[in-house]
Amino acid sequence: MRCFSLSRLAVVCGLLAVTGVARAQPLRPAPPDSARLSRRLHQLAEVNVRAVGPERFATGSRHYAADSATLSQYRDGTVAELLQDRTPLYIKSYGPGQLASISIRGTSAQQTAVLWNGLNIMLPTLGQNDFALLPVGANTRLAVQPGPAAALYGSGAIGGAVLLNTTPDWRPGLRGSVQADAGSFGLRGGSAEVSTANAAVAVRVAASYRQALNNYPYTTQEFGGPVQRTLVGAALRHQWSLAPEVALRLGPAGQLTASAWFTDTDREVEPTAGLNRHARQLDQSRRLVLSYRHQASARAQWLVRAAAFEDVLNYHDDGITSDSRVRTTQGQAEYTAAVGARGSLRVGAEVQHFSTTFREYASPLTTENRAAAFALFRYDPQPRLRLTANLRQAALPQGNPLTPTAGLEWDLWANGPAPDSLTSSPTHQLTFKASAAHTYRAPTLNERFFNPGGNPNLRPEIGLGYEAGLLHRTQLALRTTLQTELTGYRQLVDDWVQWTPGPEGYWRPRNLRQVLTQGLEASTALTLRRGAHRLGARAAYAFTQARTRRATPDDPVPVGQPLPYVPTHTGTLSLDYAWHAWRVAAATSATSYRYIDATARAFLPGYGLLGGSVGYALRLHGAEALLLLQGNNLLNQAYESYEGRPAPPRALSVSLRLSWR
Amino acid sequence: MRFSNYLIVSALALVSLAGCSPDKDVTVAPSSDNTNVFVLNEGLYSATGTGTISLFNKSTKAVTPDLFASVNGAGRRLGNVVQSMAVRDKRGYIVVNGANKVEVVSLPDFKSVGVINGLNSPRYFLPISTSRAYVTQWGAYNSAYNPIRVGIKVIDLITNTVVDSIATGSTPERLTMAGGKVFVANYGSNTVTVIDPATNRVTNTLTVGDAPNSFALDKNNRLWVLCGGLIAYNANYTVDYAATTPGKLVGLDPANPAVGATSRTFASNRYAPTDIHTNPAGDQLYFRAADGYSYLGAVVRLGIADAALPSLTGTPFIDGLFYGLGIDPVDGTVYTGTGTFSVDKMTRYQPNGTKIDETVVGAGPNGFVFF
Repeated sequence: MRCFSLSRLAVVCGLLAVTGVARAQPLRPAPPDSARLSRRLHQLAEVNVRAVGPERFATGSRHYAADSATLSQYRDGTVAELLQDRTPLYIKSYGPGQLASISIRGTSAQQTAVLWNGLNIMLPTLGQNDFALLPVGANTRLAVQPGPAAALYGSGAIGGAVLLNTTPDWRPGLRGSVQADAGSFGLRGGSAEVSTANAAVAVRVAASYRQALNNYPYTTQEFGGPVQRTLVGAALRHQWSLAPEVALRLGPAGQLTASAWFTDTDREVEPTAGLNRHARQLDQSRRLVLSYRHQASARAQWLVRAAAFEDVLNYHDDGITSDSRVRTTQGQAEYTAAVGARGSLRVGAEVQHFSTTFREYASPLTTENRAAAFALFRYDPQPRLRLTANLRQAALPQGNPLTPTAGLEWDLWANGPAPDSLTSSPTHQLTFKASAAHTYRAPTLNERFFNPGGNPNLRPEIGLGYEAGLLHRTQLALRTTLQTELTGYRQLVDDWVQWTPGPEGYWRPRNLRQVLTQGLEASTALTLRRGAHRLGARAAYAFTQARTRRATPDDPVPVGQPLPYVPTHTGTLSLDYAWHAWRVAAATSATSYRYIDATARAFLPGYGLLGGSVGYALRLHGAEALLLLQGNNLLNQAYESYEGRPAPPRALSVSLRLSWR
Repeated sequence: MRFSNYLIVSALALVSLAGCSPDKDVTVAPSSDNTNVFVLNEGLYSATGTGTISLFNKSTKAVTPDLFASVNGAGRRLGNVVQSMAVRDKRGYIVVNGANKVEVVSLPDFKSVGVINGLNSPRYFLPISTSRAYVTQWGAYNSAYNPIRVGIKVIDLITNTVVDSIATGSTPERLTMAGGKVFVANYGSNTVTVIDPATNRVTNTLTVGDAPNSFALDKNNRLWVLCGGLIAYNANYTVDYAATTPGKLVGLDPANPAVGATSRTFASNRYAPTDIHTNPAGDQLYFRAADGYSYLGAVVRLGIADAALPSLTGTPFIDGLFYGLGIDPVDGTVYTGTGTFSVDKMTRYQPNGTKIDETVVGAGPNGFVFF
């Protein structure tokens, strides 16, 4: 049996290696055995007001979380940079600090839901997030769940969801750190984080600042040969982030948390070659969430949240002034209870109210309400078989999509004790995962109300997707684990919104398109601890196809056309190594060619990037000083992630962090 | 397999996958037998893209999507907004509006042989001799938002440099040579500037209708000036039809433009008549009835002897939302281009308006050059 299992592993590894099907994601070293977690879930009394995350109801779906080492390394960076370097997701970036939008599984930027502490923070006007506006350090957790998941995360979770969270640190005492950064092309930055807690109160404040001139050289091909130019008008003038959080324990069963996140970014908008309109964009977001979690009994808890967000986006250039302000208020309530010995059920509802001041809308003050109710059910008939069935009913101005999800995880076989136990004998566990989901995206406020062109009658986009995969976890030796995952998926998105010119004389969004996305995702991660050595190595690969499926008279795009900016192959390889006081990290990523127009004729060539860092940590009486030298694009590749926007060449930065507890 | 080997193999596999590119489109070389149609594609609406020129071969119907890059290397981009192209002495002059330059190519092979810089929002190009050309340009704005450097730049075609300037009216657009004079449509006003190309001096300024945009010279050597009418916009850039003036068609004798000019006003201000052309016989005029917001519109036709102007709101000659229009000077085939800036098509029609075929070209085809 062991021979068999090893040979099977070898076959899997060999296949992965030969086909390059290897995908590294920021995985925790050894994710806890979800079977055991599920058993723990049914005994809520043993923990004091422990949050039950929605991922508990996401069986059969991929889920990856950035580990603490990765979060720490990117804490003065943006979510865009972290995802770009460490995951095979395609981030369409206009340059450092400039607009960075995401594409998960071949979908558009509006088809990835972004949640902060469980609440949707997508900019309601554009219906998407600029990931360059999300500093990593404000959050303590960052995870991505690819695949359709509206039942869990609501509107926008068609390609997937990016989940940002802050969690109170209840460890008693005062701890904190400050960091200063300086780098090529005028990069200056810094951050500070302080947290403290006693038995009743936990407080955390994280702040960061960054600016960059981005005056780097790039080369254009012109008549007479290559010409080197220096980028102008692309400076990040400032980026502030401040995230305070206070958590209070109210009695033995209650916890009140107030979290806020303020970001303020002022940047020049990079001109196209030869056309500097002196564009400036100011983005400010103010987000406040108040949540109360109550442990009603050993087997039940409820949670209510209230949130108020304000998003400002002011754009100015030589000819255009466009100022917008959106206020969003949201309320959520959910109740989670154990059902019998093997099940758990969550029911809940949420309401959202948007209020927008935007001169480009027909009415100076535009409002919209959305609501949804959901029921999430998990049932583990036996520890090795875990099932979920989820449902969300949304109430939108135009259409009320009902989005069910079903998921399954089945441990096909396991030998030896659980992979995260402290035995030295090799153990293996192979799990089969599958899920199917309906999902939706509510039309954005711009799509409905932009004047002219806004189409108030737009229906929500609807997706129907499936995925299945295998997860293999093994302990090769003491404190050495290898986790490999292979997933295939397919999703049909209907009523995909496209802006097209029409007889009205202006462009107007219409529910025109049907798009089929399908692909494969593979990843493998090794973690090793031996003496003073600590190693984490991850490889990840994604094969992605997104093509139009249905021709409509109004849609100029014919059937079978690949969507622009969806690379077929993406992959990353990363290595984090620590030995005594030394820290070494290396990350490579590869992205294949991407078409850049709707006719799938023009394309940007593929590129490979190498980055890395070397650090030395000096410990002194409970304090630590970490000096980190980082390099990006070390091979000095000239490439464009977005057409006409040259990416930065080799860039270096140095950071000094002092932390104490 | 050792894990390190595993990583190395994976890395190599990834790099090789990332390195591959799609098969290049088969390049149809431009031919020397007058079967080339150069389709001028402005490029993506996002203003970050590059314009292209698609080559259509009239005999084989084959298309090269991006002729300039195919001939001169993928790294060579024409640049932001390919506005127009003029031909003289087996040289093509491609005006790239956003990139403030004119790319010079040899014809028919389309090899890059020069570039003209020192321009500010150039629009249209007119060679006036073997050694001189005029380029209209919209100029720029100074700190007080007043337009500067508006007018014509005089180009030395031997050195491909700007050698002189001529002031015109506001936002000069198309220009043409007729009766030994150069006529410039001052789109931002209601005038046409007349220039003596021998001296580069303005000899006359003719008042026509609001927003003159294009010229056509008919078989009787009468010069037709098409005026779109002043389009007034609301604060949100939609058209304010209460303040928009209807278009006009002005006919004049280029040899003696001040005498005997005719001017007719269109009945409706709903569409702006734009981009006038003649058929090879020089007895039919074609233009687009363009929407003031989208610049798209149907093709309208009238005979040079027709007493009444055609209706812009009635049944057009060729119905559609067209961004570009061209007439083959050999056989009178009508070429139109759509303006979705997504997947755009060139559609061809017989001179009587019967559709022949359609072909996918680059984004935003706004004109056609026959060579």
